[in-house]
Amino acid sequence: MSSKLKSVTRQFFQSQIRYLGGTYAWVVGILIVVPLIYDALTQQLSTYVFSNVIKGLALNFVFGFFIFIITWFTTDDFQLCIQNGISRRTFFRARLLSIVAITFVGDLIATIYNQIVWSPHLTNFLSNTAFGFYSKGFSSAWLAGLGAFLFGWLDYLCLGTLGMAIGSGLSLLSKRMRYTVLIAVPVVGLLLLNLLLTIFTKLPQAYLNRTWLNFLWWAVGDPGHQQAVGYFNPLVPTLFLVGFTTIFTAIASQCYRHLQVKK
Amino acid sequence: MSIQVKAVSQAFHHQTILDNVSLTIEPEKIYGLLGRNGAGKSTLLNIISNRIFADHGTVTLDEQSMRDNDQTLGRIYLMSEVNLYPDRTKLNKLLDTTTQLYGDFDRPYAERLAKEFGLDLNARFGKLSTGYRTIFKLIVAFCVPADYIFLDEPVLGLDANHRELFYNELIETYSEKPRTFVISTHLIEEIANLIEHVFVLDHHQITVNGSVPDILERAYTISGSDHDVTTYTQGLNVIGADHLGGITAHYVYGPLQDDRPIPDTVKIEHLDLQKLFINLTNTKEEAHVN
Repeated sequence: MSSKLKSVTRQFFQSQIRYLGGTYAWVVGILIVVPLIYDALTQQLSTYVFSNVIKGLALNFVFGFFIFIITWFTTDDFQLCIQNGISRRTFFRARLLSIVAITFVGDLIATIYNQIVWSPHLTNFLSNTAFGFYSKGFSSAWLAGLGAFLFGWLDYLCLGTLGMAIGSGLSLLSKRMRYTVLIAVPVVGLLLLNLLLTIFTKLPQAYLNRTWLNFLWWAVGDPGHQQAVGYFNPLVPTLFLVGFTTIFTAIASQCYRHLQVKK
Repeated sequence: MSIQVKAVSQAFHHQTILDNVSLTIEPEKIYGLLGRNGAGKSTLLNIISNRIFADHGTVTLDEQSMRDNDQTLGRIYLMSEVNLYPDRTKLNKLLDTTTQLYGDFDRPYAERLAKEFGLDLNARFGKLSTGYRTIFKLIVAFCVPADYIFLDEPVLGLDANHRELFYNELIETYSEKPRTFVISTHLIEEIANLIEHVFVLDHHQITVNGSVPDILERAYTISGSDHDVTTYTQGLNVIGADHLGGITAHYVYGPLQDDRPIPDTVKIEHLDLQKLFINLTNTKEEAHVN
C-alpha cells in the first residue's frame, strides 16, 4: 500500500469513526436519555425499564443506515482529495478500504452489543434476524455468532458499496439533474412496485410458486423447500452478496474515475 | 523538468473555452497568466491540476501524465477561487489534513504566516470572509511541499495591507526555496515586477508567451501629433490608440522599422505590462499579435 493511500484511508477512517461516534451518541440520546427525561418529568419512572430500552437500540439497523448514508457523500471528500494532490484512483481505493474497515468496526460493535444485550438468548435473537435462516446449522453458539458476524459484515459491505455507487453516480450529475433523479426515482420506483404487485396478484399461484417463489427460496438458501428455517444453506445468499458487492464496487469505480470539480 | 501543456482544448455547452492551447511551465520561475474575464484561465489551471478533464490534449509533468497520477499531482498545488475545503472544518484541522495528505507540510511557517495575517486558526473555514479564505489558501500554498504552485486570483478580497504582505512573503519564500509560481490575476500592475514570464490567454488561445523583459522590449507607445504618429506607425502592428486633444498615442507590439526617420514631434517609449495587456486583449480587427 502506498503512503498516499495509507494516509487518505486513515483520514477517511478517522472521520468515519467520528461520525459513527456522533451517530451512536444521538441514538443513545434519543432512545435512552429523552424517554428517561420524559418519564422523569411525567413521574412515570417506574415504567422505565433500562434493559428493555437498551434492547431497543437495534445497533445493527443503526449501523446499516449509517453506512448506507455516509457512503453517499462523495463530492466533499473528492474536493478535499484533489485539492491535496490525491488522484481519483487513490481516492476510490481509500474510500473502499475505509468502508471495509468501518464496516468491520460497526459490525463488531453490533455483535458485541448483541452478545451483551441478548446473552444468554443470542440464538433466539439471531433467529429473529436475517441470519435466522441459517443460525441453527452451526455446531455451537459461538460459531453461529461468528457466522452472523461475517454475514453481517458482508451485508454492510454490500450496503456501503451500494451507497458509494449511488453517491458517486449522483456526483456526476448537475445539481438540477441530481434533484430530478432524487425525486423521480422514488416516485417511479413506487409506481413500478405497485404495478408489479398488481401483476403478481393477478398471476396464478401455481405459476408464482413455480417461478418467482422458487427463485426466492433458492436465493435464501433452500432450493428444495426441505429445510427447516435456521438450517438453510448460506452459500447462495453469500454468493449473491459477494456478487452485488462486486457489481456496486465496479460501478462506483467507474463513477469515481469521472469525478470532476464543478463550477 | 517542466509541465507541458500540449494542444489542450475545452468546450462547455458547445462554447469553446480553450482552443489548442500549448505551453511549457519550467521549474523555479514566476509566471503570470493573464487574460480577461472568461478567457479560460481558471479552466486551464483546473485542467493542469486534473480537477477537470480536457476534451483534447495532454498535460504532463516531467513527461509523466498528470491524469490521475499521485506522483505528479502531489508536486503541484492549485490555490483556486473556488473553495474546495469543507465549510464546517476548523482551519487547524484542515492544516492537519493537508499535512497528512501532502506530507512534508511546513507547519511552523504556516502558523507564523497566520499570525502575520491575523488569521485565527481555530475558526471554521465557512465562517471566514472572502479575504480570509484567500489568506488561508495562500498560507497553505506557501507551505505545501509542491514544486509548482498555481495561484488563481491570489489577492481576491485582500485589502492593500494584506496584498503587500502577500507579495513580500511571495518574494521571501521564493528566494528561500525557489519553486514555480503561476499567478493568474487581474491586478497586473501589482505583479508586473514579480513575474519573469507571461502567458496571455485571449480568444481561447495563448496569444503572448515570453519573458517579461523580451515582451516589453517589443511593446511601444508612439505619441505625438495625430498626423505624424499615424504616418510613422503605418505598416506597424498597432494594437491600440488613444487620443487626447491634438495628441495621439499609438500602441505598437512588434518590431519598429528602424530605418524609418522619426519625426521630432513623435515620442517613442516602452509600454508597461498592464497597458500592453489592455491593448492586446482589446484587440481590434486590424491589430494582430506576433
